[in-house]
Amino acid sequence: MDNVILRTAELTHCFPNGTVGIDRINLDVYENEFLVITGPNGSGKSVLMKHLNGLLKPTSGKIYLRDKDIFSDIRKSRRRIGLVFQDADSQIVGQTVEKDTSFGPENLRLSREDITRRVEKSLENVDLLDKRDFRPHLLSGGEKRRLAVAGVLAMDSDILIFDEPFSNLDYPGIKNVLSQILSLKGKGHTVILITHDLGKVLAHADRLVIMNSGRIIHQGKPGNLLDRLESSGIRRPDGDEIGKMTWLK
Amino acid sequence: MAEINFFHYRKSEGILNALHPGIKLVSFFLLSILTFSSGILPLSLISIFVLILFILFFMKSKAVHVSGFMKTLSGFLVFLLLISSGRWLAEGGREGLSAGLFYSWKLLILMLCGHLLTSTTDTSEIHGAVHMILNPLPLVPAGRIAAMVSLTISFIPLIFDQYTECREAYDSRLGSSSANPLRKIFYIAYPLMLNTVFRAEEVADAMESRCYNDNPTIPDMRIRNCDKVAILFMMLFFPLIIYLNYV
Repeated sequence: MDNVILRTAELTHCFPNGTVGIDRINLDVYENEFLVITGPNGSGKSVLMKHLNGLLKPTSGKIYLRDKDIFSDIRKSRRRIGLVFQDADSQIVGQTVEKDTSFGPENLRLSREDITRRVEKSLENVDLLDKRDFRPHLLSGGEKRRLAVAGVLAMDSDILIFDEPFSNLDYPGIKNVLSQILSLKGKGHTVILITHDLGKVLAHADRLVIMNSGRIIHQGKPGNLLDRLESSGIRRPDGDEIGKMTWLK
Repeated sequence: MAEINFFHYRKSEGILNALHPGIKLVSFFLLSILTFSSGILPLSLISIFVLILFILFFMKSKAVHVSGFMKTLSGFLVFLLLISSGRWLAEGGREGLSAGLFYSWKLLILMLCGHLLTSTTDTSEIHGAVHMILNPLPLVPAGRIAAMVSLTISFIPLIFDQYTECREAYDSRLGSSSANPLRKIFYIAYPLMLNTVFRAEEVADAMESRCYNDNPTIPDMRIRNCDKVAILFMMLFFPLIIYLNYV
């Protein structure tokens, strides 16, 4: 895990009303890492996530994708850094599962054959190939989130950012999405997961980042940070064994 | 959200889905113009034509049930009734009433045509068709216009979904027990407007994160035999309507 794939340097974002969204964030993300970012509401997690995809322009600081400023070629950067939003409904832009998945590759102006191949592969990856003709809004919560993942995979992204991927999902839905995320990590993708629900996922994290008031206050191995969670405004998962902090048995 | 709404695209094997999007778009455009400039006889012919199209549409569309469609349509009929009443009140008498009803009839036909177009044509196909039609024209930003048209169309069902959510939230707090219709309009319109704007921002972010582009890969749009038959039919039908109107 030596290769830094994504790096932020003194990344700061101030909103027009003067509120500081994130403050001098220095974060290295390593290739094929499973990074979990947590923090109380308003700590800047979602603002950071939008910056990593270039949806917000930093007030100051830089974001590098393999040592290259992401804004030097924002389309290429967005292709590499896929973003799965908290509200899966807002990410749905196509009128069928297949059309939604092909939205990204079509924007990249790939050939029709290439698009079909990528769409099929991505839908197969998230077990939605048999629902390719379904209307996305009629899918279950877990399926919608998997569809959002397929849309990102079809763009051939190697870094996947998930914003609260377990919100509004039932137990089977959470298990399904989590196993899908782990399977993607197993296939070589880098995963950045933003969540409050550490008890569902911490066992799989390589590294934990705790944010508060727009700043990174702690980062390191999850086991070393357990005792700092409560004082940072995060509920400490039950038990002491990191390996049991998962909803996958 | 399991409700099938008006203007939602449905993939099916029906003939209307199979038709070339460009032909559907041009036909819809011409049909709209003719509908608004027609008298009773041509409008009756257009209505019969639209009715036949609907029969074709229902025949192959598994996801659509006539009863569900009629239920959704009844909401629009109330709206059309309001328009007729307004016209009647403005002009007064029997003539005002018939003018109002005639105007509502035209609106109904237009709305049904719009529904047929959007529920049998995917937005990416509409995008491709608009682009294909406008591209040969000089100084016309075909890609941008095509993007605007397809985005507007894809937003219509979103607004309906938002409306359903707002109305259900209003009813769940016993809002429907109020006898004042203006109160209902205010309490639904305000959150509907806010939610739609908020949702539009989220969708825009999601589209941008997936490299949104005015000129994406255009779907395969070849002219097939069924398109040739449709063109031939239009070449007979539209001149007939024009003839009945103006000659």
